[in-house]
Amino acid sequence: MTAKEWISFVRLYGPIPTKDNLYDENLRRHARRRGIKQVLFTHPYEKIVLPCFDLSAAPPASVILTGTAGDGKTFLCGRVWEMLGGDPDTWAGQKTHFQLELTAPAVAAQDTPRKVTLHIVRDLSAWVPIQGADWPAEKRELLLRFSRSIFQPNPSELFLIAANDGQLVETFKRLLPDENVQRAKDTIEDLLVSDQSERPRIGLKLFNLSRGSSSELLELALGAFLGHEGWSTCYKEASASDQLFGQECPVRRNYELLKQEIVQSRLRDLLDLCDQNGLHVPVRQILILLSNSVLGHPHVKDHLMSASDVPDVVAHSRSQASLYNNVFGGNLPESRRANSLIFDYLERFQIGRETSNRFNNLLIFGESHEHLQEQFHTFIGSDHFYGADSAFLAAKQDYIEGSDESPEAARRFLELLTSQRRALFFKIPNEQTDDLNFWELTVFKYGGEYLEHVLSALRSGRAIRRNLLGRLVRGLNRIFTGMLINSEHELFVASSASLSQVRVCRFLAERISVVPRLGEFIAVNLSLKKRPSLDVILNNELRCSFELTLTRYEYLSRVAEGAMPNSFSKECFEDVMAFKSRVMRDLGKRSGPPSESGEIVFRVLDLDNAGSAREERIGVLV
Amino acid sequence: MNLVRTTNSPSSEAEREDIWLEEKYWGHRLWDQQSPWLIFLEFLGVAESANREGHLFNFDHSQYSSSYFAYSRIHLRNILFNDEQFLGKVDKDNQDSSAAWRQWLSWIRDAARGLEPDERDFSFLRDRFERFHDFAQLVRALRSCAVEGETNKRWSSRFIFPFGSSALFEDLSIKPESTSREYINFGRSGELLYHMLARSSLRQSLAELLPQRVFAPNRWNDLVQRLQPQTASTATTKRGTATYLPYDVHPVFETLGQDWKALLELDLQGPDVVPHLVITGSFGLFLYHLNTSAYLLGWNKLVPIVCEVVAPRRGLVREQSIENFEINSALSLQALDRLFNDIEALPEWTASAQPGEMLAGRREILKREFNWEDEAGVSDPEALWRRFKEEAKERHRRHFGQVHRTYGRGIGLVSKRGTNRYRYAPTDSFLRAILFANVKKRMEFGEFLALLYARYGLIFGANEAEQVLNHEDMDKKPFHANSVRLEQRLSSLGLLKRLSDACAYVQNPYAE
Repeated sequence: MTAKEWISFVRLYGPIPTKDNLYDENLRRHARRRGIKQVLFTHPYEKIVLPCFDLSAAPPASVILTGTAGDGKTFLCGRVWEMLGGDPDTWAGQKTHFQLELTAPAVAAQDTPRKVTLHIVRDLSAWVPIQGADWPAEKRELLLRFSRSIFQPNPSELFLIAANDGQLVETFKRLLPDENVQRAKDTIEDLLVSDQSERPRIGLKLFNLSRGSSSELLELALGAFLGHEGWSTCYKEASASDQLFGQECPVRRNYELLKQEIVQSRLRDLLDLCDQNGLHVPVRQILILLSNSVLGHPHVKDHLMSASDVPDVVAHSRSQASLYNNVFGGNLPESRRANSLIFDYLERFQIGRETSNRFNNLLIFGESHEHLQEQFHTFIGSDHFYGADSAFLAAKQDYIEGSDESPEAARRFLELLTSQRRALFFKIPNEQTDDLNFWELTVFKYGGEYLEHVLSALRSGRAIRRNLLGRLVRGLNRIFTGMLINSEHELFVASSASLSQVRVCRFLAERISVVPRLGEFIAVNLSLKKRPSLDVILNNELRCSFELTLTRYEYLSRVAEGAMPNSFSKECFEDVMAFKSRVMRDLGKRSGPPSESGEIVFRVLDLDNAGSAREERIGVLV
Repeated sequence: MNLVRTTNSPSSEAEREDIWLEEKYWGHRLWDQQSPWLIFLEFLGVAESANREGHLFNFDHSQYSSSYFAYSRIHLRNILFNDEQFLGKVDKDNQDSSAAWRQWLSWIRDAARGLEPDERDFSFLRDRFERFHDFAQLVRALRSCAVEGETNKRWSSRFIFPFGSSALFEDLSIKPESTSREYINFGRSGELLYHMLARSSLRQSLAELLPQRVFAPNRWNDLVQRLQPQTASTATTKRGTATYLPYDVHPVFETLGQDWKALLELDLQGPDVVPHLVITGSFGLFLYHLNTSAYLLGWNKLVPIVCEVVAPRRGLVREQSIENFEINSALSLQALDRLFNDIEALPEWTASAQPGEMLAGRREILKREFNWEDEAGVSDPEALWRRFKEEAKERHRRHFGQVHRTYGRGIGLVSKRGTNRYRYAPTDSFLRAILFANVKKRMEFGEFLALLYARYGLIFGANEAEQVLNHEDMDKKPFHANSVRLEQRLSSLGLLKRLSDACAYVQNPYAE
């Protein structure tokens, strides 16, 4: 393998348009032909899925692997095949349905071990007939047998099926009507939507690979990618400074940047936050990200540099090969970027498009500013590859001097500014967050706080800081009541007289204490799904939870600091309203039927000038 | 479509309308100027009365001619809506509660309308509130719950949220000299809604469920009751005798019944389910109006309703929706034409050769069928027929023909939003209401779209559009994009969960 061949191989991992089911094929073929090892690592689900087929250890159950394209389902099937002694050449063939004979331990002590047939369908979409076509009898039979087998205690056949979640339910629907298929479909649907992997007394385990941690996958991928021997070959073969991996080579620079702890840490954080927003990034997309980061450039073939492109890039357009831009797919045309999951997700952070005065001052005036000069130099001036080059400085000067030659120039500068902001996100170390909070360069200003003080704290078993919980409560209060209330120690559950969903709600149903009082309290815990969740506990039996995704956390924090409840995210507003409905319903269950007291009492909420809540009780005599 | 006409119909002498045409085939009456909330309040008046007397949704009691007893609650309405400013002024000007009461009570004794001299004493209120300020606060709160609060209707046509039976009253015209009932705000459409539900096969379940949710005791209803003297609890005015629903069996009665049963069974607090009942109730009337027209034209299936989930640009779906709306709007008029043809086809219509006899004969037919007389204004049988048709169509244009558009707008189904022509573009409230009425916990998105088409004729996606529109006109992609926009809309309302691949589920958070 030469360095040139290695780079060509890495390009295959990038955002090149290929059909999904040919992607793996391509890589495998290419790898074998050139004698290059693929970028591989142990999938985190391996330790969960493989043991299912060790029949001496676990009771036999069929397994469905589901998730989205590129999650590694087919790959895992291959690992199971390998573990059970299947022939690798057979696996490398074109079939999609495989069979293996296994031995299962005896059911009762004196019986002989049983033979069990394992059917592996490594890609359901490729195996089922296309929409509208008839089902060949054996295929229909196979799935009918599957549907029956999962409800039998000691089946003679086991199944391992890999399918995209949409395809899965669709396939079973097509096989209806049949009693077993109906039961199987309902079970699968149930497991899918409730995010669980099994049900008692049903011999099926469903693993949804989309529920795995994207940031964990990134760690593993980074290790395998950056540690590949291909890169040492590149170093060894490096020659002139403007050739591949020479001193001035952007590919080498990008590779070395990707090895930096700070860049890796930011990427990990971004993917962790994607997870917290319910956006999972499959393995394939992560590899696209890594390949594109290192090789991306807007003006080369397929927008990915190859060894021969390097000298020309070095001479004319090196700043456009910036890793900081490539991470967001900035080198790709709009349509390609929008079609790639990873770039779509990262785009949602709006990194570089958001800013603050602090950052703008640094970028625009920092070079000549007495107090900001040093920072400017550290982060921007000293970066000879992607920092403030002559083009940037010239455009900046034009912009400041306001020579309105053409709006083109201003637009060009603002684009360069966005690039620099993106770079800053990956350069400013955590220790400097107080002064330069790089999360302000994203749409999630509270992102850093969320990562460190909420996720991290909860994962290591600590409670979150009181002032953060207080802020969340204040945000909820403002949305629940529609008033600019300042209270942090109690949750005000209020409605207007008629509806609980109207904006301004003056009639208090209850004030729930944050600190424990008479069995009620409010806290932030990790839910069963390992997500942060705000829990309102009314008593031993009544608990109302509100999952704190990153977006919801950002929303509540912003409202607490003064934003209007119907800004930032309509969906979050609706979610909070639905949460309020649930809390009111639970309050109703707690208080039970109204007591006879000779009086109807109304609790009216009002605010004083400082924003503190004042409650007035009005009694109506019966 | 299975429709069965009722056997209890008014004789033509009993009718006071000058033409009994739409009334005969659709009912008396569907009134275009009645908004969905007022339809619901009118309905509640009938339901509450029937419930009080122990025959809620009883089929036999709903047969023509039926009646109910409505509340007037004049004291309450004077307190709430007659010169709202004054109460606040008294509260502000008087620190001392006694002084405030004195001032306000003496004022209202004079200012109250619609009350006899011996009914003008409001001092019963004094004992029920500790301070005048409390009274003022609560009245203000109740006023903020006025139904359709921004209306500029007269004070005696304003209503508060139906907390319970104490908050229900009928629309009245209260003038200094007299109090009377007109049929502009409460136009009998709510009464028709009642009868439709009473004739659905689920009427018994509804009779159990409705009181539990809507008439359950609660503090707000108690409060409203405390604002009234004892005498207010007697409902003495008899209403509803002229209301007429021509069918005992109708597919829309079943749709309505199922929707309301599903909504009433949800884990929603009473007042929270009301807005959805309001929308689905009037949607039922809308569908009844539309599909009865179709039935009269000999159609056998539900009328298709092509819905656009508002797109940034004009596209195929919008075009189809506009066209579809125009066709649907004209359906009732077309039905009239068919009825006219049926008359012309009667052998007795052209029986006599003699114009004089024919004229007399036709006059008799028109009087018998439609209670119409030309008062000897015409001398020619053709002119007579022309005159009748003109009058009938003019009358239709003024009110009954508007129902499709006005009810459609009222429920949030019809709008001009983003364009300059009316078409079907459902609002969030509409979507929420039909989702809550149809989804028990969870349903696959494609199934949901199919269900909406099967039950209501609503078309959002390509599969349903294909079944109805011409294949040459049909380009699937715009309809597919339309259903994707619907997914996103529902997702932003927290009502849809997307699994990663092409797989989404609509969910009802209240169907636990």
